[in-house]
Parts: sequence; C-alpha cells; structure tokens
Amino acid sequence: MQKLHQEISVRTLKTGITLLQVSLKKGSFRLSADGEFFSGVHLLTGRVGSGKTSLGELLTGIITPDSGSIIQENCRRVMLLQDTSYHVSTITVREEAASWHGDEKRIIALSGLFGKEETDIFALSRGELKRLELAAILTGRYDLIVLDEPYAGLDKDARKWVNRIIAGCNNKVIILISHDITSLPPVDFLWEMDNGTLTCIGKVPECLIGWSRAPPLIRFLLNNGSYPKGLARLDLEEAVCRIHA
Amino acid sequence: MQDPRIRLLGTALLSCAAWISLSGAVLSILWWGIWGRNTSIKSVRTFIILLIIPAVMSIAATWSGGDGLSYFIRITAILLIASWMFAERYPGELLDVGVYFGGMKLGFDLGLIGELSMSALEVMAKETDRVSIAIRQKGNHISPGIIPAVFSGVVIRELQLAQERAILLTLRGYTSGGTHCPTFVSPKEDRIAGAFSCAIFLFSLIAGDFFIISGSTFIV
Repeated sequence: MQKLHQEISVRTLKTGITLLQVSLKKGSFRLSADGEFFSGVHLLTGRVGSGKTSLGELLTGIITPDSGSIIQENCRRVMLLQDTSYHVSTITVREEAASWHGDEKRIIALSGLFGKEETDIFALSRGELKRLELAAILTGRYDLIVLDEPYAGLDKDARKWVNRIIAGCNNKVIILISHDITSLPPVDFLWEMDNGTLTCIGKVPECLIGWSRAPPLIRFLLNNGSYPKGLARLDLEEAVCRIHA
Repeated sequence: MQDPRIRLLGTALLSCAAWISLSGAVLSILWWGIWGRNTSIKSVRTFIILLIIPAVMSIAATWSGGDGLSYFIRITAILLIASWMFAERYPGELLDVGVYFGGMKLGFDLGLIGELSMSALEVMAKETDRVSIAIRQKGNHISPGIIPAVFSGVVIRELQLAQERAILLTLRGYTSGGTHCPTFVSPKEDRIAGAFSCAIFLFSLIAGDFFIISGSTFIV
C-alpha cells in the first residue's frame, strides 16, 4: 500500500506529456506518434517534411489529433516557439519584455539588449528579436517548451548562448526540434521523425550506437570507435579529438 | 463549379444584380442556395458571423431613416456569392481567366496581380491565426491595446514577402506579360448556373429600380 502511495506521489509530481496512438492526416501525409516526454531536454530530429513541426503543434495543443489521445501531466503552461515575430504584441523592447509576465530586467539583460529598451521592436534584427523571445521563453514559468528550429538565424555566439540557458533549465520538459546537430545543448533523450512516424531512439548517449539514421558526423565518430558522451558541441569536439589522439 | 470563367462572370453578374435591385438580391440568394450553398458556408456559426456586420449596419441605416432591410438583403446576397467564389477558387485560376479574357500581355499581368493578392490574403489569414495562438500562449489576449503592434507585424511580414516575390520575379526575367496556355473544364451544370446568373442580372436590370435611379439622377 505504501509502495502504491509512493508510486502515485511520484506520478503526480512528474511533469510531462504522453502520446497514445496519436494520428493526424494532412492530405496524403499521415503522422503517427506514441511516446512519453518527461522532464529533460528532448531532441526531435528528422528530415525536412517528416512531420516534426506538426508534432510540435500537437504537443502544444495548437492542433488536435484525428485519433488517439495526448495526456498532459502538470503541464499548466505550454509554449511553442514559432516564428519569433508571431509573439510580438507591443511596440518597444521594454514593453515586449514586460508582456511576457516575467522578470523584465532579466529578460533584457539576458538577451543582450541593455541600452535598447526604448527601441522599436521591429527595428531589431531577426537575431536580436529571437534572443529576446528565447530569453523570455526560457526564463518564463513554462512547464512544457517546444522550440521549433531555435538556431535558425542565430550566429555561433548566439547559439552558444541559447545552449547555456537551456542547460540551466531544470524540471521542465524542453523539446528541441532541430536538424542541426552541431551546436546542441546537453540532450537527455533522442527522438526521430521519419516520414510521419515518431521513434524514440533512447537515452543519450547510450542510444547513439544504435542510431541507424545518425548524421554523418556521429556515424564518422562511431565508425572510428570514438563514442561521444553526448550530443553537446563540447562532447562532439572531445570525441573528434580522441580520434586524432 | 469547375469553370473559373463562368464562376467569375457569375459572381460579377450576381453581385451587380443584388446591388441594383432587391428582387435581384433575393434571386441571387436563391441562386446561391441551389449552386453555392454546399461549397461555401459550412456551419450556422460561420453564417451568423458573416452577417453580423451587415446586420449592425442595416440597424444603423433603419435607425437613421433609411431602408435597412433592403440594405441587409443586398449585402447578404453579395457576401454569400463572394464566399462561394472564394471557397471554390483554386490556385492559378485568376491567371487562367486573365489570359483567356485579356491575352498574354495585359491579361497575364492582371491575372498575376490577382493571384499574388489572393495568396497574400491566404497568408495573412494563416498568420493572424498563428499570431493569436502565440499571444494566447504568452498569457495575453487580443485586446484593442495590442492590435496595432500585432497587426503591424502581420503587415510588415506581408510587405517583406511581396518584396521577396518582386525580386524573384525580376531575377527570373519578368518585365511584363508572359506565356500561359490555360485549359478549362466546362460541364453542363456550370453552363446552366452561368445562364441563370445572366438571367438574374437581366431581370434585375429590367424589373428592378436601376432605371428609376438612373432616370432620377438624370433629371437632377
């Protein structure tokens, strides 16, 4: 009985989302997904047109599946990073930071826009706007965050900056949708979309050996007997160095 | 309706018929009930939303001493016909019709402008949908205070898209006109519907109040 109580309390404390035989039809394209996304950083990868964005929209409730069910546990606040300009609802940088109902000064400081508080939001570069929105999302009180191609339009330093913030997010479910694996934060779980079908590759780094559709860099490392400790840039660099050593 | 020539011509004729006489408007609504109902408005809710603005305007017209009911019926007919035309359209049809009626030079240009405008409308509708979702997820609501910022974003993106398209057309060597060979399918049912829209237009001209209005304008 005590064990049952423990299980229930652990279950109720968990934050996550479960997909049960979810399917969605868009014209001739069919998406089917089963899986559980709990606290941690999940990387969802796959080819262009494989259904990653549609899955992100399903996970955040923007679209509903044709069949199956999506069960959210303790996911009261959900956020999907779309095109950053969709989130804009004010005129200046200061107002925009405040509109996220978070720590306005922290958001501005984190996004590196200190001194540009009164700047017109549409006068910012795409990179600056993305930094502002990402800072607001990643420091916000969201339980489930889906970042759809967060690195698009960001330079090398900005990518590192995003990874640092993601690495500092605890007890959140973060789903990274990206096909760029060269600048990732530490990733806990790896998922793959292939022609509309979601597959859980497993926990990183153990699953990397069995990743049949691994990108060329990972395959090169594995073929040379150098197993990366993770998918973060530092882990990949370290694995490359081991080959040369 | 599969033939876009008949559809566009029918839309123009029925809209004119609805505007120039009340009987033309009633007949246009009947026409929509026979040929357009199944393909345009899918639910009662959409129908009600569509009629909210004309209803408010007609109440205002009645209140200020005008013929609000007549206005309401005419505008309703025009909106129903327009919604039917929009629901039945397929990408490229304006270019097809433009070239068919206006040739490879002027017709092509007008068709292209029409196509670009229609696709811009679709993009704006999708973007507005996306923006409202993003704003809701932020914990905000679309309120009068944020509308200028939200919709200026939509307009700015639309202008950027238009500029990109213009550059693309220039790079492809477009100056004016072009070669396009449209093909049309014209089933019997389309031709019958087209013939009825012509008949409604003519009836509206003859039996309606158009000549009376023209006459009184002439006298004045």
